[in-house]
Amino acid sequence: MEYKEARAAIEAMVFASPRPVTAREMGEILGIGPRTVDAIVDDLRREYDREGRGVQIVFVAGGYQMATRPAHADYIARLNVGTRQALSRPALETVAMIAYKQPITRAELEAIRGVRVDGVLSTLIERGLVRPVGRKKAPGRPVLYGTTPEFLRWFGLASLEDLPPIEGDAATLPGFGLRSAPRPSSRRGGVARPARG
Amino acid sequence: MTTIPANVSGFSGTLEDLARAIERGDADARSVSVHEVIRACFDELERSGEPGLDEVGGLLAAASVLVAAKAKALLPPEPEADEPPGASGEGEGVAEGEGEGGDDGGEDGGNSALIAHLMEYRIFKEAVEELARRDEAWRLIYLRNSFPSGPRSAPLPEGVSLSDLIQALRRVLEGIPEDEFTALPMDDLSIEEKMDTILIRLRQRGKLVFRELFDGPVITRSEVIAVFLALLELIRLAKAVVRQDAHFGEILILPAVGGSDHGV
Repeated sequence: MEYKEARAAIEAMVFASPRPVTAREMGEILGIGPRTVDAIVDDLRREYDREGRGVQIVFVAGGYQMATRPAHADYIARLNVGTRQALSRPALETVAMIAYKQPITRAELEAIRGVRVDGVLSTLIERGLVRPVGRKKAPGRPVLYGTTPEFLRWFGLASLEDLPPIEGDAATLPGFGLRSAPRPSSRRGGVARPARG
Repeated sequence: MTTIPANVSGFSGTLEDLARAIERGDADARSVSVHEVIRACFDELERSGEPGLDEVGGLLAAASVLVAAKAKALLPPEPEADEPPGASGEGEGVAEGEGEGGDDGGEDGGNSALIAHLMEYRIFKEAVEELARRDEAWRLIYLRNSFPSGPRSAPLPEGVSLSDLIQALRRVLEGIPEDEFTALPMDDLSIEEKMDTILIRLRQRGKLVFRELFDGPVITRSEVIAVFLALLELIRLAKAVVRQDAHFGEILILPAVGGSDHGV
């Protein structure tokens, strides 16, 4: 397959996909390696930047996806296509705890936050950021919660490994066993930061 | 100056006296319920009718001293000035804090759990700041539509709609107890495998009644869903068709005419 054709095909697949599409998926379809796909996507990204295009290709939730640029947010908002509401502080705190400590029960979340989290948890589930992932082997078999791929898309994260690193080795905290987030992955390009302009 | 009494267990006097006693170390802030004291003060204010500005001001000042003293008593101590930088950030600081708590006697044993709790909460708060920044930044970015544009071509049917199939599925599920599972991603269910099974049974018997798909010595709700998804996939791939000859009649599964069961 010619480079030009592969490049156009990758652009088309990323455009058409309603979810992040992985380099492996595209590579298998085109019969080329994932590294080649990554290189072609980088090439496309550079071209979009150079030409000041209104769209960009971001790397979120483990795959590539088309996205607009922050500079045009106001124009898009006026289209009434529906803007997303910012998460409230309690929702942010709760989803952060779930992300770092998943799977985690509601009672464990409440123990850390010191307040009830029923309402916040429902909101997070409604928004598709959190989901039940199982039940704990404990009296009452409480539901365990974890984050979803939509959580990664929401915060523009490539994977859970790209969560903001937390202070030190927090796992040493007595009685809690907090899991430290690993440092951001070394993937070339890493998480696509929202490009300004 | 406030004359509002703050009568709590182990102490009798005004709120200001209580705040002073705690500052002097004559009373233990940890044993004082701030909520209880403030509630008592408010009750007293209500009883006394229209309180003066000075009185309310004095109450607020004394209450703030009380809250500050309580917070100081509960929070982990600040690191010493000559402590190597970063020591408290590497986890050892927590251990030290706990050790100091242990030296203070049994009462602080329970306190160490609270300290650990607060430390963990503080760590989360820092992570939350970063997530809040990302939330704000990514609100300005519209990702390509996350909603599929709709089903492509699913030629259901010969008298059976998708809702008929779902109704039939509900009836099957009603007869099956909740799964006894410990974690959701535990069942090694393969839709492809279920598709193969359906095709093999169709080849052997020519047709199947919908509920026969779910026959088996033990079938879980997860398996029912897997079998149902397999059936939908076979219909989508035009390898099977469903038919219902009469309203409320049995739903039949038949191999599609000209359909192939290879490559599933």
